[in-house]
Amino acid sequence: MADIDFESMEREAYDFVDEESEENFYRFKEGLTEEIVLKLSEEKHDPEWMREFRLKSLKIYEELEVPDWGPSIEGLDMDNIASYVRSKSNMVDSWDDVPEDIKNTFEKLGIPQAERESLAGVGAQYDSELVYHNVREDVAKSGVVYTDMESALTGEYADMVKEHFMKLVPPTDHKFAALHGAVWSGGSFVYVPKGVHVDIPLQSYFRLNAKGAGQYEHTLIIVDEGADLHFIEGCSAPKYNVANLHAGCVELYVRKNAKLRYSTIENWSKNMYNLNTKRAICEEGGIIEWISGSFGSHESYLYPTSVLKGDNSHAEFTGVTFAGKGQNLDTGAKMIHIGKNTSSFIDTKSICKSGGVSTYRSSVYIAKSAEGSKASVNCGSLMLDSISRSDTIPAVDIRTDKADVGHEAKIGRISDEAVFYLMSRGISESEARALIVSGFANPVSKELPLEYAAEMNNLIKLEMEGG
Amino acid sequence: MADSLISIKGLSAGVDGETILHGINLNIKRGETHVLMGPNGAGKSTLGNVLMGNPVYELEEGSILFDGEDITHESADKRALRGMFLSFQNPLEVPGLTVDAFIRNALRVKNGKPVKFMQYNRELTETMKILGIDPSYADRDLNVGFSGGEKKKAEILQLLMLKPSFAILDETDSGLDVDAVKTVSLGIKEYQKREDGALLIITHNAKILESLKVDYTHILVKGKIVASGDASLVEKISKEGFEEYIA
Amino acid sequence: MTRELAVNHLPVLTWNKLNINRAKLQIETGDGLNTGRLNRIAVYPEGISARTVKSDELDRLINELDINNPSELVVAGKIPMYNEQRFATGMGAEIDKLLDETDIDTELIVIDGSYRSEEPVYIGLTPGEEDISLYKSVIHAKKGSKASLVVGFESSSCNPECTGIKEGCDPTAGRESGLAGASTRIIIEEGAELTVYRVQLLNKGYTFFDDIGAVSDKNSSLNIVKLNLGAGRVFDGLNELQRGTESAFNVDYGFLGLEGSLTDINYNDVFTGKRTNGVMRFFGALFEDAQKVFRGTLDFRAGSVKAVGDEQEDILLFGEDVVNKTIPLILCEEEDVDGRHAATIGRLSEDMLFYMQTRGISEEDAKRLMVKSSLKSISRKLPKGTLRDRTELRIKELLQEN
Repeated sequence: MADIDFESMEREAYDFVDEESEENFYRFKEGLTEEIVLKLSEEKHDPEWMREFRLKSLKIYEELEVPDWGPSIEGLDMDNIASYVRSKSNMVDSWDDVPEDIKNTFEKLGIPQAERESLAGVGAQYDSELVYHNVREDVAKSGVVYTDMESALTGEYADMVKEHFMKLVPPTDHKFAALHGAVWSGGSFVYVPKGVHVDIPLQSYFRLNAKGAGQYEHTLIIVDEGADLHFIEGCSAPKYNVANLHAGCVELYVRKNAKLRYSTIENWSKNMYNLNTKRAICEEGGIIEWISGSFGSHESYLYPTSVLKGDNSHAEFTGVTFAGKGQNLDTGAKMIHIGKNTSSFIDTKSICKSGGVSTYRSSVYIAKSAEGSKASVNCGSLMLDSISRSDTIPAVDIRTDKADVGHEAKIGRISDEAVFYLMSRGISESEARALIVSGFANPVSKELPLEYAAEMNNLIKLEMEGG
Repeated sequence: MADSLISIKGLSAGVDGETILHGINLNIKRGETHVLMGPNGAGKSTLGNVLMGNPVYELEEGSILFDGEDITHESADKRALRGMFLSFQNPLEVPGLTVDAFIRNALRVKNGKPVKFMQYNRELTETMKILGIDPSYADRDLNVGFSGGEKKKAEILQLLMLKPSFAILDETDSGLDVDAVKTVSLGIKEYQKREDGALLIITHNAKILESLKVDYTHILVKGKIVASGDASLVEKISKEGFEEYIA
Repeated sequence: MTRELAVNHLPVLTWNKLNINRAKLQIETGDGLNTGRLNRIAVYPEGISARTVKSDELDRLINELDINNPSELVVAGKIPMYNEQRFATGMGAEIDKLLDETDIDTELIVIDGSYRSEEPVYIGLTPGEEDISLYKSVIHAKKGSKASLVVGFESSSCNPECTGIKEGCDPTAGRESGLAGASTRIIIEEGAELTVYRVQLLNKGYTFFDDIGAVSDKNSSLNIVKLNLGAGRVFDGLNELQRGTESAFNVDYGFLGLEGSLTDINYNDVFTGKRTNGVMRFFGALFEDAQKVFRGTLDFRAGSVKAVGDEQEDILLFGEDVVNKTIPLILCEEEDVDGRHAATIGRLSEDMLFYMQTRGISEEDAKRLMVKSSLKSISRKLPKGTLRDRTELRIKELLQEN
């Protein structure tokens, strides 16, 4: 009798493999050299400054060390990663024009349907390039720009892009930011003009379908004074038995009294090294809200950073991480208080099961200038068995006596009483446990639009049943 | 009106964006004892806390005058120095700070000069005796390891020692046995006797009021004062409950 | 010459930019290590013995008691230096190395199983003439014993049992500056109860280190009560292994960080035994430009079923130039445990502040009142006697100055 891989079956909804035929796809050979970076630059018709930026970043990449503090990334060999794979067709703004095989992939993920029902605009990236991009007419009319990064680089907003590109996350930040600077491709550019409120979310969906490839999309969002935006990011990939790499970069500029909510449901397959960098900067009175669900990847380094530069600016981070079998997810947040009377809240939930390793890592820095600032960190961890591991590593650094910082961390298990209570009401034990875990993750799911919350709860259910 | 010690006008307040009190008006004169009754969740404690300036609550509308002066936006310590007092439902524990040191410190701040040792000691001992508090409690850490009843007595001890001109007693009788209620009641009576102060007693139990002089009774339901009357209203409530007032 | 020791390693590394993964203890060595032993004044009662032992005897003892507690670092592919310790301490292997270089003997203090007393046993430690004064001891609490050791670090060689203040004995006499340090291993056998009070009242110019490693067996209890109220630079590390079922570990720690001072703390509570219980409470206040790094770890290893760990840190800040770093870790590889950490930094809780204010006390006064009361609630745990009097006097003096 053949072994049934229960976990793989359950994850089929995301892990399905659509083989890429050589004739329809263009792919760089694996590895990372100056030659490859130059070829990429040429392929993408980079402006001169970008070509130089890439080469400079590559140098920095070569000089920087792999971090000595996080999960081991020994299994990642850059010589086996193709940094550029794209479909031979061009980006279109109608799903009908997307090549059949790619369209099928996104149909299975429910993206076109979500767009029809609840989104103001969608960008869909397949491997290294966007294959689809569309924004609702009324939203476009209000002056909102939502386009792929490549078009933005040469179009009407070229100067704005140049002014902001990797200024918040410089290539010198860490080795994989440098890598990103050298080989980035795809991603989205969003500009919301002054005072414009986008009532329904924009979404980007990233699908890395190629085997042994890297995805390095760049997301640059500028929310101008008094404007308001909710941006949703979804990620998935099929599972292969070779390593894939995701080293995206997200830069968010929140201007005076503007508000940005950035939601992510990350469900990369479990062969993915997710070394992602996300950072936001808030000017006076600006608000950044991060909602983050991390379910996929083999290994993750993910710590969205909020720089509260302007007085009275505010940041919130709400995150849930679920590490199952074979996963080592190192996630958290960084808060940097510089302006006066700034405030930040971190609320995270970590769950680990079936040998998964989940690490919550954060830092809160309150500069001397940040008088009157408040920060609170609240992190909870749930251990679902004794072969898993959960660590909590929150650092706080305060440089003023006029600050108020609170921190609370708890670790524990599902209480037997709670399971018994639910069972006494006729619910099966496994259902009861899944319910309790969903309840534990509720602070995150309740912040998501309904259909994403449902997706998240479904992911939790899959994780609870699998392994 | 002008001789009201505390005057509350159109007070609306709430917590976390939810309004709890809706347009409260209340005047209390020196020497008067007012009782505030109401079902659970009516907003009784909220009123007590808002009067004292607890920053947890957001004041939405209205004003509070104390002795003719607007104190609506003053911090709690300033109100205390003016002569206001709030006894807590759940007084906080302060390890390392004795009851004695705490009261002496508060008196020193209030009077702006060191306390007279002999006089203070005599008064403390006497007052503790009235409240049936063991003298050793003076040297115990404030509220640390105190039973529910002991905590409430310690609050009444502070009431008598600090001599506020207006005191709000927030559910001072909750969770106490019959004897403890008697003692607390005795303490309040002592305050009425000693000071020409004003009292606002928040309770849902008539027991504590039995031996006290009560001038006015107010019924708070869903954040509004739905009825006011004299002491006889207390009796009526203890017989009939709040049904009549709950629409 | 300056020598730099890497100490107080965080059990799990994090971002190097935070400068929190380890501390650097700088030692002025002059032409060579000018070291002596801390003068030790103690009168041991019957049932407690002390003698000088050589390292091979200690090794035998550690073998006999099957102590194997290497510090563990949870990062793949890196084996840091302090893994060399077999009996881990909070500060790490470089302190052991420093002591090995000197010819300072180890004092083995054995508490017999028949000794069961709450009567405090005073051990006074004062620096000698040398720039560097060190002391190394092993405390072995045998099965079923019960004892209280009161260790005072003071600048002058005043007998801790003397009537100090009254007789005009000046604990601040003696050298103004130097390095004073102690390395202590504590072994608590089954059912033993030990309370160790450690009070440090050295002069401000001193650099002080206190490195402790402890192992607790079944049904034992270890209480540490600690106050740092003197030396301007303090490095303090402790590693406790709760390997015995139902062993208990309790820490009450207080410190004042004054102008120009540095306090660097690394306390690790490692749980391997079932139903073990660890509670660590830290309180401190920082003034002027005082710097503080606090690392506190609850480490639940596999098998520590139903272990409970609780860690609380409360810090009040009074200076515009203070630097306050905190990193409280919870490491966990056992499902059935209960771990909690809480920290409040900078201000009083809203409830406490409001309560104080309703009694007419302003925020600033309430903060100062809390510093005094919090330190006092720790100093009052000390057995009554002159050391406690001197400690309380020191608290009063320091708070008056600030």
